Amino acid sequence: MKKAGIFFLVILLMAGISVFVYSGGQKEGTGKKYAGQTIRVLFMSATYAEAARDIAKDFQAKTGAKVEVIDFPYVTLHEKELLGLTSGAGNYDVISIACQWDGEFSPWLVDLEKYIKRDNWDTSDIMESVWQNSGKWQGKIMGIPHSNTPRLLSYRTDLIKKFPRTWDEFMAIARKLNNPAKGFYAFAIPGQKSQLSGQFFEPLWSLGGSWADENWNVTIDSPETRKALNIVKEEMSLADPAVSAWGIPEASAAFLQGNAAFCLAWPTLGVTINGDNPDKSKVVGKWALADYPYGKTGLTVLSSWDLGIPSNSKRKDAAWDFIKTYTSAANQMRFFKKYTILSPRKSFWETEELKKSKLYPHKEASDRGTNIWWRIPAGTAALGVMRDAVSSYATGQWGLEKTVKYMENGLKKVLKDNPPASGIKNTNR
Amino acid sequence: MLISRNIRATTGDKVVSWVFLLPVIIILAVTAFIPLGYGVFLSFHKFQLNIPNSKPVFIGFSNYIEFMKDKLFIKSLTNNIIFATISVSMELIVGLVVAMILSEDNKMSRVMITIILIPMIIAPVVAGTLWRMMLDSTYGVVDYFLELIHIPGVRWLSDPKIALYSVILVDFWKFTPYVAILLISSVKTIPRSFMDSARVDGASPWKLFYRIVLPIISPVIIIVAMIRFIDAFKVFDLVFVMTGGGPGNATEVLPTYIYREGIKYFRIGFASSVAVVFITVMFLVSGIFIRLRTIQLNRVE
Repeated sequence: MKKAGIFFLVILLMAGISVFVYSGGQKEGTGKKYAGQTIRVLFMSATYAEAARDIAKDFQAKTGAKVEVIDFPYVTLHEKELLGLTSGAGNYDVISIACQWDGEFSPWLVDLEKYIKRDNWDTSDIMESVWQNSGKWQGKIMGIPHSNTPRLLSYRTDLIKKFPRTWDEFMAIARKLNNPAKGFYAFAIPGQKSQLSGQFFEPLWSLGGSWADENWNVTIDSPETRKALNIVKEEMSLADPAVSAWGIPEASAAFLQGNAAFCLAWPTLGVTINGDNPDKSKVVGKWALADYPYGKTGLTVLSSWDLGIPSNSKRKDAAWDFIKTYTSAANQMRFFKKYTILSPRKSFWETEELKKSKLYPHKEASDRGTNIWWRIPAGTAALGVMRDAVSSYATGQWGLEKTVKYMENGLKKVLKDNPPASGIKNTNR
Repeated sequence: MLISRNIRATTGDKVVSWVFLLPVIIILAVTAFIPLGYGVFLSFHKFQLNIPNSKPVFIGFSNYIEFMKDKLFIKSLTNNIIFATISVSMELIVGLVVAMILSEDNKMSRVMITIILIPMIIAPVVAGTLWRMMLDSTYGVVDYFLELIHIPGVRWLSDPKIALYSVILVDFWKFTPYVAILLISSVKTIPRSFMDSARVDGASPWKLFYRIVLPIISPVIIIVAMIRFIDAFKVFDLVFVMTGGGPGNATEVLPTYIYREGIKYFRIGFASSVAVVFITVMFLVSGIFIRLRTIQLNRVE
C-alpha cells in the first residue's frame, strides 16, 4: 500500500513537471496573430533578400510569424520560382517576382485585390506607371511592387560637362573620349551574353522600335533595329576588348577605377554603392547618373520587382501582412538608406533626401517612360533569342542581316510554340 | 535423387541471388529506368510546363525533326565533340606522362601525387569562377604574367574564336590529375620482373614503355578514356560559370542547350528529345569503348 502510494506520488510529480515545462516556457509570440506560424519568403539574392532579413525579427515580434528568407541568384531564380509555383508543393508564401515574369506567373498567384479591399489598404502612393508594368496583369493585381529601377547609365562629370541628348551626339562624345593607348575607354560594358541584350533594348525602344505590335505581329525587322544593333556594336568597339566576358561587377569596377567615361552597367548594382567610397573608387565626386539619349520616345528599360502570394500558400494572411510591411513607406525608406533600393512610392521621391540624391535621375526616367519586354510565358524564350542574336552580332560572329533574320524567325517561332492567351494584347514593345 | 537435389540447390541459389538483387533493381527502377522511360515518352509529346493545366500532347517525331534542323543544336553538338575530343586527348597524353614519372614508389612521388590532386578536389563551379577571374584579359593574373615576359595578352574568354579552347584548358587542368592517378595505379600493377628482364636484355626506356607498359595498361587507358569522354560530353558547370555559352553561341554545348530548352523555357518535350538522343549516343560510345577494351584485353592475354 505504501509502495503504491509512493508510486502514485511519483507519477503525479512527473505529470506536474511536464505541465510546468509545457506551459512555463511559453513559445515566443503566443497570443499574437500568427503565433507558431512560419512563412517562407523568396527573393533574389543580395539587396532584396537582405532587406527581408532586416525586417524579419521585427515582423515576428509584432505578429508572431517567423520569417524564413530564401534567396537565389537571378540567373536561376526564374526556374526556382516557376517550379515552386507549378509543382503545387506550397514551398513559398511570398515570392518576389521580376516584372517580366508577371504574365507567366499570374495563373498561380492570388488576386490581391480582395486583401487590399478587406484591409482598406491605401494604394494611392504607389506609382501607377510602375504598377501597370509590375504587379498588375490583365486586370488582376498579382503583386505589389517593391522596387523601381529604370535603367540609367553612369558617366564622368569631369570629362562630360553637358550630357548628350541624342544617340548621335552620345556616340560622337564616346569616340572623342576613347583612348585605348592610355588604357582609357569610352565604355565599361557588362558584355556577357546574359547582360548585353539590355544595351540593344535601350536604343531600340528609345528610337521607336519594337519586337512586335499590339497584335503580336513581329516588327523587329526595321531600321530602328539595325541602328540599335550598330550602336551596340560600336559601343563594344569603344570598350575594353575584355568586355564580352564581363558581368556587372567587372564593368562597374572598371568605371570606378577611372578607366571609362561611361558605365553601362545597372548603376544601383555597383557605381551608386561604391562611387563615393575612396577605398573602392578613384572617381569619388566625379560621377553622376543620366538617362540614356532620348531618341524618339525617351523610353528606358525597367527593372521592377513585385511581391505576390502563391495560390497554394497555406498562410496567405500572414503572407499579406508581410507584403504590407515590406512595402510600407517607412521600410522602403529604410531599405533605400541601407541598400540603395529605390521605391515605387510617390512619397519616397518627394522627400528632400531623394531630391538631392545622385539617384534622383531615376525618378526623371520613370516619369519619361519605361518599358519591359514581353510579360507573357513566351517572354523568356524571346529574350533568349535576343541574347543570342545581339551577342553574336556585337562580337563579330554574325552579319547584320543574318542577325535581324534570326531575331525575326526566332520571335515568330516562340510566339507559335507558346502563343499568348486569347485576348491578350502586347502592351509592351 | 542426386540430380534432383542438385537442381533444387541451383534453383534455390538463383532465388537467393534475385532476392539480394531486388533492392538494387527497385532503386535503379525508381531513380533511373522509370525517369528514363518517362523522358522517352515525353520526347514524343509537346509539353510546356509553364502553361497552367498543360498536358503532354502526342506529336510523333516532331521534336526530333525540330532539333535536327536547329542551327544552335548543330553548333552545340559540334562544340561538344571538339571539347570532348581535345580535352580527353590532352588529358590522356599528359596523364600518361605524369603517370610514368610518378609511378616510382618514393617519397617525392607520393608528395607530388598529393599536390597534383588539388585541381581535382576543387568543385567545378569554384574552379570555373577562379579561372574566369584569372583569365580576364584586363585584370586577370594570367595575362599579367604573360606581359611580364613580353608575350601579348590573350582575350581568353572574350574572343569567340578562343573562348571554347580556354574552357577546354581549364577542364584539362582539372581532370588530368584524375587520369594520372588511375594510370599510376595501373602502371604499378605491372610485374617488376617484366621490366627488369627487358632492361637486362638492353631495352631502352622508350622501348620499355612502348613494348611493355603501353600494351599492358591499354585496357585501363581505354576505360579511362571512355569515362572521361562521357564526362567531357556532359560538361555544364564550367561552361555555365565561365562563359554562359557566349560570346554569342561560341561555347554553347549540348548540356547548356538542354538546360536552356528544358529548365529556362520549360519546353519539356523538346528538351527530352534532345536528352534521349544524347543518352543514346553516350550508350553507343560506351559500347564501342568496351568492345575496344575487350579486344585489347584479349590481345594482352
